[in-house]
Amino acid sequence: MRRSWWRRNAAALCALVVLIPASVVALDILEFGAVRNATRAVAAGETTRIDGWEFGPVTVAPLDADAVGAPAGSSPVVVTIPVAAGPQGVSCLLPSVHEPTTGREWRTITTLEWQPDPEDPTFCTSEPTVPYDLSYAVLLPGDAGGPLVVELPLGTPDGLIDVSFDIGG
Amino acid sequence: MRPALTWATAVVLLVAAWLVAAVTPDGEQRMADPFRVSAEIGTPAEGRNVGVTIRNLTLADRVTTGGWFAEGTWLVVELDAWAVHTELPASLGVAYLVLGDRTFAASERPGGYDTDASLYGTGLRVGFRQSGSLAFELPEDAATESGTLQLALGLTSSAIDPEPSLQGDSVIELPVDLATLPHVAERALPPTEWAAR
Repeated sequence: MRRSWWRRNAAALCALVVLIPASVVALDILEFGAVRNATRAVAAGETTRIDGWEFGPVTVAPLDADAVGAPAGSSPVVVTIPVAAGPQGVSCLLPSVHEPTTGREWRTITTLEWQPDPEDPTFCTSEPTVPYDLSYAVLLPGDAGGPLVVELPLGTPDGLIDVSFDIGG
Repeated sequence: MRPALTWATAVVLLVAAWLVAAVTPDGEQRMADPFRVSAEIGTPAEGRNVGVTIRNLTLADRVTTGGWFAEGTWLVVELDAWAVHTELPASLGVAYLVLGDRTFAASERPGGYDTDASLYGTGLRVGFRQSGSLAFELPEDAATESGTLQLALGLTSSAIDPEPSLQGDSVIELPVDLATLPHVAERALPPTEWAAR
């Protein structure tokens, strides 16, 4: 009498039972290159804490295009990120403004006639023990209607974390 | 499974694999080909994340900007440039003039004197066009040749080896016949500024 298909392939099936869970576990454990953590989303008006540092609430305020030498039809803005510094070991990369509905992304601009408050640092530092603001100018086109998101990449001992601050419409 | 069916399946799979290999152009060697976008003078040309309108090309025996000048055989390309969807990053750092088997990168000299005198390596903006120029310093015998102008995003350091910097992304290409271009004694390089849309 001919053996059933299940019996004939019993060894292969047993191997699958072991290998499939083992692959899932291995993918979860192994680190492939640099660690890029999941993006941390922060709702409008909210703050977030990372390694003893607190960031937010992030605001975006319009600038006078003529006064800062921005091109006609543009909407220059100032992105302000309040920071309450924690212990050393956290660094900030430059923020960027994203428009999720169109996929467009803008970086900070330094060629406008606008300067941040000289009292505030221009990068993440744990030197001031009092909270400070990081402020950057960003040149948006007039049709960037939002909703907008400010993305701030942070370097931490646990790897890079993208913090995504919802700004609203 | 019957032996005959097993063999037939194996043959079908082998033929299918051969077909896939046969219709794949040049195999893996072409996987990193650039996506070429043909440009015409005065007409916007857009790739994945780079857009340009090449306005005119001029040969000059001397280029100037501010107090700086340089003599020789110069090709001055006036253009508008912009990023399509992201500024992270979007630097106009790949600018080649290919003449036969010779490839020339845009000169870093004007921008080295005055960053506003060249669009080479300039960060492009989404939603805004910047007008300016690229200048190529050429040997004298190149002024009668024809070839192709290639523009793409990248780092200006890519001038060291053109091959990798043109891989896997859009390259704006404009046919150029240097012999038919206007040839002037001196050309003042236009400053980089916001362009009217």
